[in-house]
Amino acid sequence: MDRTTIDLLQGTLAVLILKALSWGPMHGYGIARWIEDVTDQDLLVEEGSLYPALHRLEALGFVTSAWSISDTNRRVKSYTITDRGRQRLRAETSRWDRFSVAVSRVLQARRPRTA
Amino acid sequence: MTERMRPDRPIGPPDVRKDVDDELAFHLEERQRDFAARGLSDAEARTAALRRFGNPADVAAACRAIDERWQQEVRRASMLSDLRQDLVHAGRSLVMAPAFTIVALLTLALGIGATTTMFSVVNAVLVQSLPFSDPDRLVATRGSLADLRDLEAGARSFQQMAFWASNLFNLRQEGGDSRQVLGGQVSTNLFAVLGVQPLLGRSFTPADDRQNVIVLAHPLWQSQFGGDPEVLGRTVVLSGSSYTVVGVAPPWFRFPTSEFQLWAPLGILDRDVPQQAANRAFRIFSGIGRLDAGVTIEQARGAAEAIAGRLAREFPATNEGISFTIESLYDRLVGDSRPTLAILIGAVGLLLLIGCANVANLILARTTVREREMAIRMALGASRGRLVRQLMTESLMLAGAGGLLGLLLAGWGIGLLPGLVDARVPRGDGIRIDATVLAFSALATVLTAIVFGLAPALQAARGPASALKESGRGAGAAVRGRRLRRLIVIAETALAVVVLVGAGLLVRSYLALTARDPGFAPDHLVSFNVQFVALPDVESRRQAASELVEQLARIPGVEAAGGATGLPVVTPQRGTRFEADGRVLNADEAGAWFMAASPGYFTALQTQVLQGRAIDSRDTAAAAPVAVINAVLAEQLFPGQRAIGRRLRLLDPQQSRDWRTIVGVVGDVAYRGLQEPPQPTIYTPFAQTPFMWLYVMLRAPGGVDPIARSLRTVLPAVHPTLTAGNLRSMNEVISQSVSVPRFNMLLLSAFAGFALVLTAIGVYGVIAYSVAQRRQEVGVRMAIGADGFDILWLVLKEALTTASAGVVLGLVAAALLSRFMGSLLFFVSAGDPPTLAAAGGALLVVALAASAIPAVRAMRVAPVTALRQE
Repeated sequence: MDRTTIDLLQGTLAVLILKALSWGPMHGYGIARWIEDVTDQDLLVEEGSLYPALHRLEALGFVTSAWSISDTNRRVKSYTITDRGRQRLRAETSRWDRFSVAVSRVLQARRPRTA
Repeated sequence: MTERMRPDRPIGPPDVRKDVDDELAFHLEERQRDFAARGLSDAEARTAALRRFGNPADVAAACRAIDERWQQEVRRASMLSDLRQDLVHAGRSLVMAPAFTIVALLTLALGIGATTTMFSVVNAVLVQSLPFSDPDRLVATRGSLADLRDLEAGARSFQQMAFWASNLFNLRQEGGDSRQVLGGQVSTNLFAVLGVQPLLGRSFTPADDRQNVIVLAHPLWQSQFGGDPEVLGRTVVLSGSSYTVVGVAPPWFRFPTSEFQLWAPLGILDRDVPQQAANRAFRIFSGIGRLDAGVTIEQARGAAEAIAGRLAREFPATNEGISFTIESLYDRLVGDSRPTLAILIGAVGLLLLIGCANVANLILARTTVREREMAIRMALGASRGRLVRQLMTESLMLAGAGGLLGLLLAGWGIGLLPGLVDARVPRGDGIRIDATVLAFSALATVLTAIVFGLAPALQAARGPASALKESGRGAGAAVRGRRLRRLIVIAETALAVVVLVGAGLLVRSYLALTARDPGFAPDHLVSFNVQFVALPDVESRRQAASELVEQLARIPGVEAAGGATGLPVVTPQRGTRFEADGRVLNADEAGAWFMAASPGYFTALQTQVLQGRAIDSRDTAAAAPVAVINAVLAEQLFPGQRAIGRRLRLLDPQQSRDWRTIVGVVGDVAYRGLQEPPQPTIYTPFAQTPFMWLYVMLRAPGGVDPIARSLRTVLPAVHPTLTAGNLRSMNEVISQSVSVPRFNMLLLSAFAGFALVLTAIGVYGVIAYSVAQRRQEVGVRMAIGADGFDILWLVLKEALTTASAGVVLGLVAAALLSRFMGSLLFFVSAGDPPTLAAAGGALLVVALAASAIPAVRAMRVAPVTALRQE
């Protein structure tokens, strides 16, 4: 498999998690799988950093968690995005949009005329 | 996502470690399952999953760290919000019961304020160290100047020694009136030994030793020199001689006590009265020494004992049986104020406890009312601990506000503390609210809150079930509350009895003290002192004294005039050794007070001449040497026999050792305080044994003012250097001599008054509440034929049994505690039965009086209404 690994900018993982949760509650493994699926595995999330990011988001109040029992009879911790989390996601999305537009503009810029 | 969502762990703090482990394990299992589904073997799938994940232990640690910090924050936030809730709730419930809050607040503010004020004195006297450099190494002793100098020369325990004696000076500024001030005659190194720098100018140098120079105490500089910074170099007249001011001491400096207004070099004594400085029997001097590093006070005592033994062998006439008492300077300066302070702070602490009892009772009365509120809150899920905490917050808030108010009161009270209290405080600005006092006040506040708040809080939060079930009156909870309140009142009564007994003992002691016959008639008696120091020789002093007494007797309105070298009630001036004709006296019999008296002295005092005659104009210098003795000495020397015609002679090296014929026996005069029994006293004619000073007594029904006017012409006419010091009535002298016991008595009586009022309030509260609770019972009793007096007795009986229990407890405690008052009591024993009985009786009467209103209210209960209620 030919994959591009993109070095995630700091904080981007948090945005991806919030985005994943914006569809509904999910456990950590589900979030990892969702990111793999939607990016066609172009974006390989380092699974180790996913969980600290999730816990940090919970401490900050952007997500909440609840425990339940799976059909394999395991304790499962699933996360739900909060209103604050959605606000944050919106803010990050528009920031990202502005950023990528700006970067695209730079990359497509023509050679400046010299005086 | 196929999991059934159902709650797993409903309540309780999360187990962070297990949660993180479970979460990560689930992830790895799911990943492994996915890999297995793609055809990998179990082992391969597991390895792949792990590879994909990284190190689970690191990830788990990172997650745990985040979660734990988060949990901490959550806990802190919830505590803060609980606290805020409690504070708001407490504040609201206090504001909603303003009468309760004001009464409780005032009680606490007064209690904490008084305790803090008293503690500020204790702090200044007993806690702060002496304001001298390295004060723990300073020790003090007394003796004659010659002995002390020998001690300094012989003892290697001391780095340095300084000496002082107190002296009364008549201080006069150019063109001003004369006033008497107490001063210290000090060796020139005193300030250096203490390590004290003057505020202005300089302290003494060795070159000053025989010079007429003085250092002023700060208060004298302020009052007599207006705080003039140009005071250095000014000249004042002290007892007739000119002195130059060379320095002013710092404001906080007082040595040895606050009464000392100036210091002059001790060497002046060597110069002017060498016989005093050399006289080993003249033990009016004090010495302080700075112990060498590593030398203990016991070692210094041992060294001093060896020197005293040597002196006793060398000078048996004066030094036999004499030793040096070496104590720390701290003990010397403040040691004897310890019992008084202990008793005052103890009394004030008891008062605070009584106040606590009242506040606890008020709170209990409220919690009974609030019981349903508590029950409902508990039913709604508030824990018992949470409710106790909320009620304690209320108590702490109350105590805190009371403490702050109390601190304000203390700041004000400290300003009011009369000079009496601070006379013995070693540092002038020592009585103040400093960190120690603040800490004490805070501690007192918290303890107060716990003492008055804990029992009611525990009582209130007993449990939801019992309180909700009890809807009616007289139910179990209320009965338990009533019992607790009664217990509190019993304790309160007991405490009040203790305070009352203390005050009663001081009152009895003071009354006994002032009722004592001083041996003279103080009404219409005026006294002042004159100093003959500036007169050139013995002959001129003799001359001046006899002329003075003659002139004074001629002043219109003066019925009798005389003088002696001692001032009744205040000072006998000195003791002497003597021997009596034909009798061998053992050591403790051979000492007596010795005074030189002028003709007219006993007439002016109206002291009875019991045998023979008084000193009169016959007793000139040239006449045969005579003496008059007092009744105590006559009884001691010649029990049951006539003393007239017997002989004795003084062994005081300063006086002639002539045998003196006893020509009279006079009544006993109290020379040192009213509390001391009369001591053996010998009077000699002033003309035969002249001194440097005379305390003049004038029998003058017109009082002090006309005398003051006459003296302005009479004294200069006798000799231009003579001035009258401390002109005042003898009643004033006596009153001043008992000012400390009077102050203690008044203060403790005020405390006792407070204690009685607080106890009355406490008893009233309990009885009134009890009557309200028992309305139904009263109604039933009346319905079945009890009359008003039965009901009255029913109520009063409750008050009496409660108060009696308290009185009995209190009397036992007082009997035990009053022993510590022994040093403050004169002519009354610590366990004085009449005082105990009176204190107990007073509390019973107060309890009865306080329950009278509720009792009468109970008598007026209409049976029908009472029965109808519930």
